[in-house]
Amino acid sequence: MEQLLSSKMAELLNVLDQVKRYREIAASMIDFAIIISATAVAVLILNVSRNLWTVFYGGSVALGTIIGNVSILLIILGIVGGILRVTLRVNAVKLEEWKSTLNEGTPGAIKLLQELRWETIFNDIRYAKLGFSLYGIIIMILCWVNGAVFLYLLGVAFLGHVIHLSLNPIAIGLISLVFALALRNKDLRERYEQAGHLDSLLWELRWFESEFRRADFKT
Amino acid sequence: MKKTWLLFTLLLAIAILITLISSFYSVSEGEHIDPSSVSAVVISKERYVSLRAHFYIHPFPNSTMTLSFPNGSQKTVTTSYNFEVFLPKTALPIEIFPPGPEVAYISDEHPIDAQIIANITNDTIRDFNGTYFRVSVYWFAIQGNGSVSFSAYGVAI
Repeated sequence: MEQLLSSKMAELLNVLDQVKRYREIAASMIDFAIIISATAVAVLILNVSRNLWTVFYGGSVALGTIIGNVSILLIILGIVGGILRVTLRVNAVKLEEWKSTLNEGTPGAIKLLQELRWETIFNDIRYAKLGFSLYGIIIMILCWVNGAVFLYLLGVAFLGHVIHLSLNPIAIGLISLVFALALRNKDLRERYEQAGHLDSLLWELRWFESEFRRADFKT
Repeated sequence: MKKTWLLFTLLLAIAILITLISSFYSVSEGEHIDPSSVSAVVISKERYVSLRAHFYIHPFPNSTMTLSFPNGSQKTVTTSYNFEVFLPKTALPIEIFPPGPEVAYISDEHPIDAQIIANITNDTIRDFNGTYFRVSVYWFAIQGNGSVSFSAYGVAI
């Protein structure tokens, strides 16, 4: 019975650790948005400066090429930086802090159970679900945008010059969308399933909380 | 909270920069010149726009092209020749001018225009040299066997 309690408690706390990680994803979305917005500002400033320079001092093909390449590099760096920031924050989440207490056996398990703040946990689960889904959608959109930029460059550099074919923007958008969907298909499915799991976890925990309170009241 | 303000500031900067970038305009064209008549390359802009135009003249092999400018000077070209002009703004975007005769298809949405007009007459030249409230015009006549192309970039700030 003691072992069963400890193992069930470990299971619950592991799931809550996972929720903590997902919650961190939601919390780091603002960092992600700041990095992407800062990248957009840098790219726009670069292009406005290039345009001003072209009008007032005369432009050159070399200047246009350099600014174009630097802009693409900045966009890629911004996206990679944003993803890296989210990953680092999620990896920095401390997990299994409860392990030593749980190793004490039943008293430890009961102590952990009593320390759980249920309303915070329920909020965290809802927040985690939002962040988890949002991050998946953003990564999908970024894959789409990157694919479109890659196809555009391929179109300009290869198809246009070597075989004299040009891709139209709608075709670029559709092809890159199909590629992005194919690439992120597994991740999207996992996220969808995980969102469902988080929903059922929320309901199970609500039931468990009410049972626990009733038992607590009786003792 | 600090992060929210930072994000808000960045989004505001993006909105301002997008507005700024939409105040740039460009136009380009190129075509063969009819050797049997005089053509004109006409660049026009709203007075509140600064504009830089690059012209590329390409005579056909063993042909010459003659450029005639409004000040009376002429240039004969036998090989590829290019030059650029800068037309500064002479009014503020907020200034309101009464409607008047216009020489080009320009509007607030597209305040620069460039055209190659074939077979010009004295009346056309009078139109180019006219004084307009809202519009500045730069033009030159071109005659010969070859082609001309140009690109013009303007900004309304």
